[in-house]
Amino acid sequence: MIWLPLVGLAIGFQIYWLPGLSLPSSVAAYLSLATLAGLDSIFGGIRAGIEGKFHDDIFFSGFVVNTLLAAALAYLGDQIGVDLFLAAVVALGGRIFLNLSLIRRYLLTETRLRWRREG
Amino acid sequence: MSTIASPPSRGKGWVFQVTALCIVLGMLLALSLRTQRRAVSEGIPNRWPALRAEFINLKQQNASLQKDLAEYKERYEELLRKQATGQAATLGLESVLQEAKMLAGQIAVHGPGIIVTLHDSPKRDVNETRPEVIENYIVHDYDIRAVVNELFAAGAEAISVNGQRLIATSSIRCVGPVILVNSVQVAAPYVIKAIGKPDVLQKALELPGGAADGLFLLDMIEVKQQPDITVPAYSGSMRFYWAKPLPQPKEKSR
Repeated sequence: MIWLPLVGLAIGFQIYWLPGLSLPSSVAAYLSLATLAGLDSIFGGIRAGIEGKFHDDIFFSGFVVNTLLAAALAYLGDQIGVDLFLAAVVALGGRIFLNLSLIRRYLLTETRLRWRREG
Repeated sequence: MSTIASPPSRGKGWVFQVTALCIVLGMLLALSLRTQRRAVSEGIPNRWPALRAEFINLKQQNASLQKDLAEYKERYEELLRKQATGQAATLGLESVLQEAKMLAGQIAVHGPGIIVTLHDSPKRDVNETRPEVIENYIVHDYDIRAVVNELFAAGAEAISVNGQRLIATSSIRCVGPVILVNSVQVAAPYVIKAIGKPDVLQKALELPGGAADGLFLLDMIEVKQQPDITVPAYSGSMRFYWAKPLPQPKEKSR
């Protein structure tokens, strides 16, 4: 079950990768940040799902708003000369690592419990 | 845990929703990667647009300034070279010109030499009336010519007669009772200034049987050595109406 998101990721990747679509190079940085925000939302959703606290409306709205907000904030930061890009990278990166470590623990715990049950 | 929006969906339903968004994320990731590659292939740092613009601007400025610098350096070298050669050429020309002017008598010169004074003989008998005898006791143009010729032969480098510098086209002759030097009337006493080695000049004049021998005999000549005398420049005009320089073969040195 847990591999399903990975399959989805691969499918979505292929949809855009194969035609070779791209945007003007000036938005590359903001697009990268939006991707990072999306990644953060996904891991947050997985963690919430494992914890049994998954809300689909929070998840979807969070994904859309976070990606747009991250890009928008970075752009705003560039315009007013404050490096909000780095702030977003640090905040999102920290959260991604936190979520990943929690997911890892849950999965480990679950596996250990399953082994004990079976063994 | 209190629910904020909707009750948490139990079971594995969330996996499908995560998968749905993962498809979107995958598309975003692909787009981002493509765009990033494009930015890299365009060879510009993709962050900080303002800085990027400034960076490109500075790079161009730097290149153009470097070009300017090279140009200026080249011009500087060229000017230095020109200055060096120009100075040498000017100095050389000036010394040549100076020598030519000295040779032509166009500038006054000074140096050691002798002053020769010619005057009518004091030994003349005042009662003597025969012109052919009196003639022997007065200074003639040929006396001056002979003295000047002797001085030049002895190595005199500049000679003047009563302030008239002798040059290549100078003449000494008499018209009736007066003597003309450079076509200018001169009167006794005739003072001849000659620059050269004083001893040699004097000995040349005192040569027994020489040009001035007769003048010494009649006390018509006095010779004085001087450590420093000045011979004036030729003051007349010197124009060539007939003589034209012949084209000379180029000198190899220079």
